[in-house]
Amino acid sequence: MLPEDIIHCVQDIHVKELVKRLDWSVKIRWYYISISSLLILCVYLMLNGLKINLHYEYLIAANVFLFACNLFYHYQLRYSYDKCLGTHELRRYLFLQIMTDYLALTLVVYALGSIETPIILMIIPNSILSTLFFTPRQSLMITLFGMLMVIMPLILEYFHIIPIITIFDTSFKSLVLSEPAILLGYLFILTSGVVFCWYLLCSITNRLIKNELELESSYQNMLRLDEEKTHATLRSTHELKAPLAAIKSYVYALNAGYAGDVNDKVLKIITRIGKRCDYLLNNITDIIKLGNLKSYVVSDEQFYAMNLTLFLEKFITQYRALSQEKQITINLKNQLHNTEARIVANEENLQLIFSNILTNAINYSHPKGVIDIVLSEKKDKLCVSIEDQGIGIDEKNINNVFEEHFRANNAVEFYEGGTGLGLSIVKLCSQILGAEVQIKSKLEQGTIVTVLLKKGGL
Amino acid sequence: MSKVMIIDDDQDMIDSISLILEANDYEVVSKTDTENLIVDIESENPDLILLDIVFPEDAQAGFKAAREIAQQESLKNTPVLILSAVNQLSNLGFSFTENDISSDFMPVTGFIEKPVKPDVLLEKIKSSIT
Repeated sequence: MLPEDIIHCVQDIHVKELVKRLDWSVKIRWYYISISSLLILCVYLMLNGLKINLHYEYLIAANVFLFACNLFYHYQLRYSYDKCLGTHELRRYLFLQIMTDYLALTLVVYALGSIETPIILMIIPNSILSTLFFTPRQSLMITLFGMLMVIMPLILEYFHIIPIITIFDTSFKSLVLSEPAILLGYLFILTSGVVFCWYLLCSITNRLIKNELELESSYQNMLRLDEEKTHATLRSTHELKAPLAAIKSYVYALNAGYAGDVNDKVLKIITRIGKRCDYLLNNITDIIKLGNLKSYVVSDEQFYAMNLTLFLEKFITQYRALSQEKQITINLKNQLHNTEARIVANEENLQLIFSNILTNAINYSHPKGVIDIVLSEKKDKLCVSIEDQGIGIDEKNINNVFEEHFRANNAVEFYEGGTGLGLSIVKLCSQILGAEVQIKSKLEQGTIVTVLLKKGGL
Repeated sequence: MSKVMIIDDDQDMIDSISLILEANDYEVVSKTDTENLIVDIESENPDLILLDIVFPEDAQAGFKAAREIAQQESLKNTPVLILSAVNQLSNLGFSFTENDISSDFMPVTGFIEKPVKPDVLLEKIKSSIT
């Protein structure tokens, strides 16, 4: 089981991060064990003739120790996934892992001549981890304790408690061990350097943590506001639409004769009431849609790879009933040559774009007309053109069609149910998807609305 | 004669649907809130329930009621049709479709869009009861 698969059980962002870092730490340790074992083998085979007094037994012991501990941590991590442990337990695990690393590092430092190689600086990666997940005081204590551990071989060598190991037979180590002042000076400089590094890391990570908390808080606020907005929109939509829906339901019932016979004059009035209800229902829906789109917060997570051909095929079936009322034929013409119509978008916005364009095409077409939906490509764009043979738009009005509530005179005369908001919705949805919309029209000849969407997948 | 129970806070909606159903030989009973829901449904023992979603007390009371009905052993075979003025045709971002019907999240038989078209209503009720 991968951490990504089970990470859903932990809600806290810090726990998630801690689990990821623990997993990362175990993986890094496996890499270190593999690479260092390989290096030991190479050095043993290739550099045996050189004057390097390597104590292979200590290096192997350090690797075996790390291997055993890491195997334990590997299974401990799985246990922590299953049990969905909190930050307290996970921090304890991290502390244990850091201490293990320091212990193994101490052995390696001793085997490599204590001060003869810069291996001592390997305490810094764990210092970074401690600054990320512990308080500044705790991380300083951990860093200082690690420092004490890795300089311990040098101190013990100075007091002749353990044998002095030197791998290069240089006089540098003898010089440091010969005078207490030099040893103290060396230790002071080393410790100061590490503490300075810790201070820099701590400042950076504190700033990062502060920013992360601010971001998290803003994100939670955004989610809450978005939820509140959805509820408010739902409530207002319902409050506005429900009375009209009741009126329209009465109209349907009266029209179908469920309240007894009505004379032609009354029937005409009822039909008019029904049409005005439709207009209001559409207008309310469009106004709320427009309001929603204007406050839409775009994020990459809302988009996904889609097949435009499949979308259009499914989309057209939704408009069969509406087109059949006017005996209008809708044709889908796919002019793509062996090109897969992949785009990154979301169905909701695509649906809003094409439903408004196609509804306009149907509403402003003459009965028994033809509407062609042509799918083609132009360089890196996929083009969907909705071509009708309807009333068209006067050239002087073509630049106003995206304005809210704009309706050309011939449109009002031909179809009174329009709200003048459809193309404003199309414009906003296109902006959200990064698409382009082009309109060509000739009065009494028809209109071509083309939507250009960028090709591509995730 | 099949019995249909309409649960909707809008009396006009209840009356307009009743006009259609009573003319087609259905017995209609109604309820305008979701309080004592299970007791009232069990006492009426309807063959089908028409359930609104948004009630003054809670914008999602209808969904909650549908889940409550589905969990009741005595009512689990009673078809529930959701009535909604804010559904898939609105495309408002909180829409739902027949694909969203599931035994845990939305345990209903189907949806009917408000305003209610008589032929759609009768067809849905007929197919749900049989």
